Amino acid sequence: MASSTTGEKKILTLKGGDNEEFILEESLVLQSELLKNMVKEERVSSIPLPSIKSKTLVKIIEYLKKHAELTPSNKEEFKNFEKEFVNVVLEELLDITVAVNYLKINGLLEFCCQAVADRIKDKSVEAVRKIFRIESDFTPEEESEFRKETPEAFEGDLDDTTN
Amino acid sequence: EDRLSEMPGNIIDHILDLMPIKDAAKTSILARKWRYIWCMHPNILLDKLTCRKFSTNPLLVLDNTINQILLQHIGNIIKFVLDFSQVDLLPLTNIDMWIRYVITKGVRDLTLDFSNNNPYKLPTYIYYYQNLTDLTLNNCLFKPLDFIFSYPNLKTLYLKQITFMATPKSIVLKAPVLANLTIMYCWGTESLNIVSPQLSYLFVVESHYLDLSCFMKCSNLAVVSLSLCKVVENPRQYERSTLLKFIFGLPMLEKLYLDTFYLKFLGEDPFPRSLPVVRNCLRHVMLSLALSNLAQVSFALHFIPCFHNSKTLQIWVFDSDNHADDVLNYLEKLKNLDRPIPNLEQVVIRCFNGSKPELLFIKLLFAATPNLIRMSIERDRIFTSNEDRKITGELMRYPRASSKAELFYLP
Repeated sequence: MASSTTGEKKILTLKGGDNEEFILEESLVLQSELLKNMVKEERVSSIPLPSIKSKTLVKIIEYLKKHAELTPSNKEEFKNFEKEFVNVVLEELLDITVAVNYLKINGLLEFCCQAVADRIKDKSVEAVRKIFRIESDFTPEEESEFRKETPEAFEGDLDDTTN
Repeated sequence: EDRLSEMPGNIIDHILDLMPIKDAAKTSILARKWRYIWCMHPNILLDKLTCRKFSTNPLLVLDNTINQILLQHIGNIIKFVLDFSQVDLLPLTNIDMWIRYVITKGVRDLTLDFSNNNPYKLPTYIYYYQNLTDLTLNNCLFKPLDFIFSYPNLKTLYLKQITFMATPKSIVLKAPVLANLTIMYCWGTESLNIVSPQLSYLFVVESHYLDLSCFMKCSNLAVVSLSLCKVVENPRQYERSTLLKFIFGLPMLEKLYLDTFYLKFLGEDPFPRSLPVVRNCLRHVMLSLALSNLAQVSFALHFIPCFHNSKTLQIWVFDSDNHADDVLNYLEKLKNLDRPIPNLEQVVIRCFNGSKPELLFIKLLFAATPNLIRMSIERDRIFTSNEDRKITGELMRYPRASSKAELFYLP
């Protein structure tokens, strides 16, 4: 049996974008493919992550901790935690998604992308533009031409700008 | 500021995969930058809900919509999913064409689901197309033109409710890199011969006996799960010995699941009383066991200690009956298993009902496991406090071969 867990637990420091430091157990970050490789290959004890805001890092560490505690008996609780986890303002959700993608935490990436997809789902083009602040640079002629290309079965959606 | 449009391409691809295709299609009219992102998106996923939604319109619309989606696509298609399990399938002539189309676009991961529908006869060119890495088929008729065909790149094959049309010779599928194979509720599998030397995961749920001899040489098999789903009448001796040879002969096997009908199939008289001891990689043994059936119970008790290196044992018990006298007699007389299971650390008994045969079975396991750490018993129902007291009293009394063994009595 591998006995890498014997002895005291290894500690790792993550440095967020605003130089704030987060000290945590090394085993926690192994869910991130990126950090796992850094820890395993280079044996570093402090990793700077200047592109990730501290606020985002706090959220991600919170997730890693919850995920590490996941057992068959608290699955429900974890699901609720996940739901709450992405129930944040759009700006924050996108920050987390980009950071998770960078860190390569695959399960969480899928979940974040689903949360973004859910904010596009069942909404009109106008609503999606408004929510994501996308500015249309089509001329009105172009737009009506392109809309005609969309199959008729796609029509008849809700116009919902909440969220 | 518009953050979404600035996201890395792989995130946008991921997001597009996770929403219905109609929503993904709409992104192409958001802004200039988005114009061709969806059209060039390599995965076209026509899932159950999408297809059902389209089909609430006249069928022609469903046909036209899918035609349009495919014709608008630019570049390669990597993944194509067509799930018609909730569509009333009339003779839709275009399906063949769609498959041909995605093949010309180089599709690698193909899913065709016609469950709850008329079976779909696969077009024959699918047997000549060699780029597939993943193939999932549900409720299709399978009849290749040649008896031998090959998928040189196929890694995952999932077959559910497939009918292999009767052929005078057996069908040989050569899949040199196939790693994962699932065969569920298929017919005509007796004429199927899959040559897959790299196979590591085999999952079979069969309505009748599948000849496993073609997997004998799959020395990489790590996970094997076999369910029969019904009683085999008059099992043939050579089939049983093939199965045992298969199970005991896999050097890399880590996980094994056998369902109750397989245990019955193997346990029917006369079964070989002297089973070998294997010291392979098998760590996890899972069985579902009808405790009212003597053949199964006695076979299981001979079978479990065969795996010298097993670490965990999970048993789904059911059908236990306080009045199955032959089973009770057998279990009461049996003082010990053939041999101890030296490396077993965890036992999980699921669907526990508190009956006498279950308790005696657990007693035997306690006595045969010198290194047991955890015996978990998961109850199937809520017991009265009186029952609980009686059962736990009984369980705590049983002598344990391991001084470290803890008993977990779980809801």
